[in-house]
Amino acid sequence: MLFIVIAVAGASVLAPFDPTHSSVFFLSPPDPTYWLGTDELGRDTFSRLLFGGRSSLVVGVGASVIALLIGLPIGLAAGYMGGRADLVGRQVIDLFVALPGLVLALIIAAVMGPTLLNLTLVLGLVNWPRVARLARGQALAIRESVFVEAAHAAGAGTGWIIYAHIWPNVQRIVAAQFALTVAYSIFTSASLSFLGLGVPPPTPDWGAMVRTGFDYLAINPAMSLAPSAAVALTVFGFYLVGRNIE
Amino acid sequence: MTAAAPYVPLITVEDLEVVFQAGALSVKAVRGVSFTIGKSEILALVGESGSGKSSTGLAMLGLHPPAKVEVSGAIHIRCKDGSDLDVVSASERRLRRLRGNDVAMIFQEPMSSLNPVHRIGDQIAEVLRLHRSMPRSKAWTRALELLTELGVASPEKCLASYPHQLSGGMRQRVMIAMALGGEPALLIADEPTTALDVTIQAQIVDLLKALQQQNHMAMLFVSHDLGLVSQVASRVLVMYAGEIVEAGPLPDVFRRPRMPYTRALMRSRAGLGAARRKIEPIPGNVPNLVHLPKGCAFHPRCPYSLPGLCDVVPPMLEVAAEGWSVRCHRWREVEAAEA
Amino acid sequence: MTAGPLLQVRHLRKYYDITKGLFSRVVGHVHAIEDVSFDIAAREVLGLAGESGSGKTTIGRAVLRLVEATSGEVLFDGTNVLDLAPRALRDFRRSAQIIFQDPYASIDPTMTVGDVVAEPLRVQSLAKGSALTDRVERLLADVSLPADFMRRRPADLSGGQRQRVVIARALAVEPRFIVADEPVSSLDVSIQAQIIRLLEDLEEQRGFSMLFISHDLAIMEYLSDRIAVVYLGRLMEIGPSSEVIARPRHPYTEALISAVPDTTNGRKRIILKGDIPSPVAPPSGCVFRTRCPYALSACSQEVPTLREVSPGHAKACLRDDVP
Repeated sequence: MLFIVIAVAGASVLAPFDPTHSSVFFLSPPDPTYWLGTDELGRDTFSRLLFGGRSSLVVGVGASVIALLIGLPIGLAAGYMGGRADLVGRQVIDLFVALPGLVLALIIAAVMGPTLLNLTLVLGLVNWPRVARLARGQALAIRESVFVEAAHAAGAGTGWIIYAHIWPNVQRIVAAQFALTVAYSIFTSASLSFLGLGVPPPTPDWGAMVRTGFDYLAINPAMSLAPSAAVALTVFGFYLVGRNIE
Repeated sequence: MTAAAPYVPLITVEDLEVVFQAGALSVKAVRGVSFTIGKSEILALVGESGSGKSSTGLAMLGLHPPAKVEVSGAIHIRCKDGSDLDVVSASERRLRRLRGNDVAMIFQEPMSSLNPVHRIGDQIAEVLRLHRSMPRSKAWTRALELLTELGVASPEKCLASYPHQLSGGMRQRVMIAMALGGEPALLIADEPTTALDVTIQAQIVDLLKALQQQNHMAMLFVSHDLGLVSQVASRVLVMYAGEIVEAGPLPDVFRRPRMPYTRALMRSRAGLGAARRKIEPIPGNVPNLVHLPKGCAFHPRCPYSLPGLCDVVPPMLEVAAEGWSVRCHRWREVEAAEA
Repeated sequence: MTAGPLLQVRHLRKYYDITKGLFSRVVGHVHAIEDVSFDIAAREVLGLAGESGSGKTTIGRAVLRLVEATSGEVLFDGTNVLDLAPRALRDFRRSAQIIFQDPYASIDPTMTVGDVVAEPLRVQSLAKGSALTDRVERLLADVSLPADFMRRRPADLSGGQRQRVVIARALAVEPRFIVADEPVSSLDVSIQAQIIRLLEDLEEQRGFSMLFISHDLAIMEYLSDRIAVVYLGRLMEIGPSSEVIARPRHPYTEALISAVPDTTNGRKRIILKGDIPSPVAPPSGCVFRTRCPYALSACSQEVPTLREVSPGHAKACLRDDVP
C-alpha cells in the first residue's frame, strides 16, 4: 500500500518519460524501454500509469479530507448535544444522503467542467454524510459513558468533553472510515473518467486510460489492464488499511 | 465428623489440571486438584478470581473447549445407570448424555443459558424431553410442577413468558428448574446468587438447601462469598492460584482456619453486628498465573512466611486433622496463634 | 461556613416519564425516588442501603445534580443545589465529588492515569503545569500508587488499582462531600478490604462527609456513622449504624439484615416472599406491605411517614410493635 503511494507521489521523478510526449512507437507491447508498452499515441504506458495515479490520489484523499472537515464536526455536535442540534443535524445529513452521488458528479462535471478540483469537491460533498453519521453514532454512544458522567461531575462543559473524551474515542473509527472513503472516491473518480467525464486529456488518468485502451484491447492489452489493475490494487489497498485500523 | 449414612463417593477428582492456551502463553488455571464429592453432600469451592474454582467447575462437565484448553487428570463419576465415567477422557457424545442427566450446572447469569426468543415453558420442556424422553404435553405439566415446587407464584404465567419479562430471581429459579429437570445426582452451582439482591439471594439459597434435602442431590457450590457458603455447605475447599490450599468441615474451617490465606480472608471481611474489629486487608495482589512465585504461591502476602522455606519449597497438602488438610509449611504455628 | 448539617435533603422526588407511541405520550412514571429527606453533618458518613429498584443510586446522582430531580430541595451549606445557575453549579462541583462503582467504565481508556486524576483540576482551573503534576503525584501517593503510574494507561491496571485512581480523581479538588456509589462491589473480595481501609483512612485524615451507597450491609456498618435504608424509592429507616443493625426497627431492615450471609449463623432467618415490586406501579400505602410479614390492612391505605422512635432514629412504619 505504502509502495503505491510512494510510487505515485514520486511519479515525476520516477517516470522514465514525459507522459504526454508522443512517440512513433504506437501500441507496442512491453519491452525494456517502455516497460508496459505504449498507447495509441506512442506515450509510455508506465509513465502514464504513474502520473495517472497522482490525480487519482489527489481526488481520493482530497475528497475524503473535505468529507471529514464537513462531516466530523456536524456529526459530533449532533450526536453529543442531542436535542434540537441533533434534529437539525440529522435532517441535513439525510438531505445530502438522498443525493445520488454518481449522478450528481455527472451533472457537476457536465455543467461546471470536469476539472480535478470540481471532482474532488463533488466527491467530498457526496461522502460527508457517511462520516457524519458515523461520528454521530459514536458520539451518542460515548456520551452515555460513565467517564463522561465523571467529567460532568468535575464540572466540565460541552467543549471540554468533546475535546478530551469524545474525540479521542472516535479517532480510530474515523480514521478507518477515512481510508474507506479514499478507496471509494478513487473508485468513483475512475468510473467517472471511464465514462468520459473525468479529467480531460492529455492529463493521464486511470479511468480514461482504461477507456481508451478498450478499443485496442486485442492488440495491446496492457493499455487497459495496467490501469485497471492499478485502480483495483489502490482501492483494495486503502480498504485494507481501513480494516486494519479497525 | 458424625455421619448418618456412610460416605459414598459420587465423584472423584484426581490431579485435575486445566491449562489455557493463549497464543504462545499457556496459563495453568488449575494445578493438580484432587477431591471427592459424596452422594447427597454439599461441598463448597471457594476462592477469588484467578483461584481456578470456576475452571474446576466447568471441567467437571467437560465444558472447556478442547481446542483452546487442555484438561488432564481424571474425574470419575458414578452415573445413575451404574456405569463409571471419566469426564476427562470421555467423548463429547458420552458427555452430552452426562450433562443434565447425571450432572447439571447453574450459572451466575441466568440470561446466558436462556434463549431470549423462546418462551420459558418451551425451554424447560426441551430439557425434559431431551433427558427424560417425555412427550410434549407431559413435559409442560412437569415443568409446571417444577416451577411450583420452586416457589414460583403463578407458574402458568411464567411458563408463557419470555426471559426478559422475568425478574432476576425468577430467571434463576427457571434455570434451577431446567437443571433439575433431568433429575441429576450432582448439581454444580457457579456463583448462582452473585447477581441477585440479598433478599432474593436468601430465597434462592433456602430453596437450594430444601431441594438438596428432598432429592438427595449432591451439590458443588462454587462461590467467592464465604458467608453464603458457610450457610449452605458442610465441607469446603479453599482454592488459591489453581490449587486447593485448605479442605475441611464447615463451619470449623472458617472459625479456626489453619491456612494463613483462609485466615487472612476471614480477617479481611467486615463482620455484621457483633464483630466490630478493624478490617485487615491482605497486602499485595493475587499472583499472576503466568509468573507464579517460587515455593508457596501465597508466600509474598503471608504473615507467616518463613524465608528459606516458604519461598523455596512448594508445600504439599498435609492432613491436619480428620477430614481436614492444609497446604502450608507452618500450619501448626497458625493453629497455635488462633487458639 | 454555616453551623448545622452540611447537606440537607428535603422531599426529594425523581420520576422518569414512560412514553409510548409515535408522539411520545406520557403513559406513566417510574417512581425512582419518592419523598426522601435526610441530613448529613460535616465529617459524617451516611450509609444508604437498599437493593435493586430502591433508588439509592438515583439519590446519589440527584444530590449531586448529575440527574435532575423532579422536585424537592438539596441544601448544601444552606444553598439549594437544585436551583444553582451553571456557573455556581460548577463551583459547587468543587466541593462535592463522586466515586463510581465500575472502575472499568468510569475511566476514559484513551487517557493516561495522570490525565484522569488531573482532569477535575484542569476543568476547574485549579492548577497548571508543574504545580499540576505535583498535585497529581501527591494524590497518587495518597491512594498508595507509585508516581510513575501517571504515564500508564488504564488498560494496564487491575480493578483495585483503577478504583484507587478513581478515588484519587475524586479527591483532587479537595471536596467536602463525596458520594461513593457502590465503590467496592465490582472488586474481588480481598481487594474490597484494601479499598475499604483506604476510604476509612482517607475519611479520617481529610474529614470529608460521605454518602456511602451500597447493598452490602456489613461494609456499610463498618464505614458509616448512620445508616438509611431505602426500599422502592422511599426511606424505611434511618438511625445510628450500630443501632440499626443490632436492633432494627423496620420490618424491611430486619429482613435485609437477616438475609446477609454470615459465618456466625446467629440471627433469626426471615425469608421474604415474592419479588421487589416494579417502581412503575408501586403498591398503595406502604410500598413494603406486599412482602412484609407483619402487614395489616391499614398498611395499604396510609403511607407511613418517618417518625422518631428513639433519639436520632426514625422509621416509616405504622406499627410500633414490630419487628
